[in-house]
Amino acid sequence: MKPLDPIVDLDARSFGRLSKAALANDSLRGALDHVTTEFADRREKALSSAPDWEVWREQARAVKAHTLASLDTYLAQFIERAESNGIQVHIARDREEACKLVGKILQQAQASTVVKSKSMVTEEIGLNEHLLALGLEPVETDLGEWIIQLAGEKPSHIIAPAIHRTRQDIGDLFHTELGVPETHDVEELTAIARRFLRTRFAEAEVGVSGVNFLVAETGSFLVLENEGNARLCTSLPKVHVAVTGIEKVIPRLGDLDVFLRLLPRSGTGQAMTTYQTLFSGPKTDPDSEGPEAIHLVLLDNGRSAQLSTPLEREALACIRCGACLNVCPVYKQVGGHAYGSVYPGPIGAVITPALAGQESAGNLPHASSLCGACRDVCPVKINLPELLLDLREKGDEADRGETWGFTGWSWVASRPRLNSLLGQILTRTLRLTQSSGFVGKCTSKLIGALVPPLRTWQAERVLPPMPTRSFRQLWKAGLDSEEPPA
Amino acid sequence: MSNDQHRLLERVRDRLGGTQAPELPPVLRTSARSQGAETFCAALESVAGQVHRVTCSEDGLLVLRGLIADRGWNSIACSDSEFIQGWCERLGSICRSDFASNPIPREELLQMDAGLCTAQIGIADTGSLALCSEAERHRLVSLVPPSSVIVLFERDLVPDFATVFQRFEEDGLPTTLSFITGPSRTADIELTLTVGVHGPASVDVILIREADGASA
Repeated sequence: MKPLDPIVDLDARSFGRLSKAALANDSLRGALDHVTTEFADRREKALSSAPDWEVWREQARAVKAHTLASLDTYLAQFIERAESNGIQVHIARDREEACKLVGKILQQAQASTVVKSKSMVTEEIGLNEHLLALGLEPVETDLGEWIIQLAGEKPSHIIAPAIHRTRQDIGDLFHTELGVPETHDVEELTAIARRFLRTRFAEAEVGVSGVNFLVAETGSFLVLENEGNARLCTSLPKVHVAVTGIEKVIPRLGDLDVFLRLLPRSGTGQAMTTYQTLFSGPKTDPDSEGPEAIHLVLLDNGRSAQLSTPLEREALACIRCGACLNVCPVYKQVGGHAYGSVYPGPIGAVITPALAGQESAGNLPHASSLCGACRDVCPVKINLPELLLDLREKGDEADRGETWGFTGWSWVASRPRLNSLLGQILTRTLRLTQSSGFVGKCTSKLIGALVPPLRTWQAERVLPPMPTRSFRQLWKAGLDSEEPPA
Repeated sequence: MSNDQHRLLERVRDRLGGTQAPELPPVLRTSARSQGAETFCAALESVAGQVHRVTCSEDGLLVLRGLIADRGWNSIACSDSEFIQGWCERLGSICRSDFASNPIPREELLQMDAGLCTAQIGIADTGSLALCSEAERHRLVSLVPPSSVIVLFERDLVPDFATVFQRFEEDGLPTTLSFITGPSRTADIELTLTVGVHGPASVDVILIREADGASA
């Protein structure tokens, strides 16, 4: 039997096809343009009142670099202290183990309904699909996650999973799926979500959450949110199951401060999210509230394999703010679903092949113009362009065509006469394709047939008119002789 | 430690292969800014929270009576804190307290108009409130009803989150530490801000300068 992909429903090889479809979808592109621009603006605004931003980024980078390079020590400390706090720590090597573990905990708790707050790791492992197969009913409670669950979709953005949908879409979806009167008013739509989900919170036996930070020193974990659904998921049910990756650990309680300054500002442009809850164990005092048991599932799923080199380790420092998505010229055009992975955008193009392997996702690192905007906004200073290049190199080792192409080009380019001759031939041929009538058409077709990439290029663009004299000729004649550009 | 845990640590150690870790920088202690009530009020109001500043507990109760009348509340879910219980006695049957021995049934709590509790710490920098799980039963009353009233004493204000973490490094953490900054919000539909999606749509903080009589 074929082993499971490390990421559920992975379809990263289809980037070309999926992105083409996305580019042709005007409604999607309108939504993307609005959301990415708005998010980026809000972030900019939040930074304007944070003069120490660069100091915080450097601190966070250094803390993560240290922690990841000594991850064994901090994980050991975290596990030991969390367990002495009464948190039951489980280890999952891969996606399958993680799903089975959670399924088992839920069955032991005799759960039938499970409320979930937003967690990218549970998206990664396809937890909902697994629970449904076990006959359990997972209910997403984050508004965006609930919308995409109703629609049977995957998230398209790390922090705003349903941003590819317009209010009209969502109104229609609620109308068909829930039988409520049709409305496109955002407040009314939100009120519908509150009403429907209230009863689910009250009846659920188990709540599942993600984790933003694991604190080694105290054996605690922190969950950030704005809606209050994570608090409800972790307060009302008797059992709380948290699922997270092993890379989320930070050494000290005091380190949380700098990450709390960076994460909300980078993600939503808020100085602070509405809620942060720090869990350090189930209830011990019979007079207090909260779940009687807390389980924490620590997922590896290819993460430990990223620890060998300093560069690869950098990708594990990601705090999942989504800022790199909002500034990426590729993501801004095609959106999250085109990546065929629950992790889209620049960080997704790095994490996906890192977790799932080159064969499954080796072309994703090419979905980037290497402009560096992602690196500039990253709150933990991950060198994303460098990582993308590194992954391209690894993926391209098998690509002989490209290697030969560049070898040939460098051979020609280092021979001035040959270079000039070929340049003239090329210019003349291209000029021919631009001539009107039969000759132009024929040469165009011929060139397209001989050089397929050029045909693709020409399909979307018009070649500028060829100049009468080449740069070399101009240079020889003296640059002054050229008329200034109009 | 279990076998799985050992195996994970071994896998991690193996991949790190004796990597020399760069040094861990000391915790960044941001310079303590104002811990004043003005900073707290401005920060909380900037995220649509409301602060009512009063000089004594008696005036605080007056503010609460005003809120009840203005907003037409008929039922208030109250925490079991001694201070809140003092107010409950005065307010009468509108209050339903959540005691461990006699908790508010879920179905009832879901129908109540407002929740009332105290916060153990206020954070001036961000207008946040910190609720410590062992102090009182405030987790559900501050979360489930559509309106939340939280009492905070000025003496419990600290400048920033860093100060809070520093304090708990010394004192040890409660099993659950909840930070609340304003009303519940979402922007998941077209990034349009909407309050009250799951938690309270309104958060009113009664900020009391002196604690007279019953203490929190």
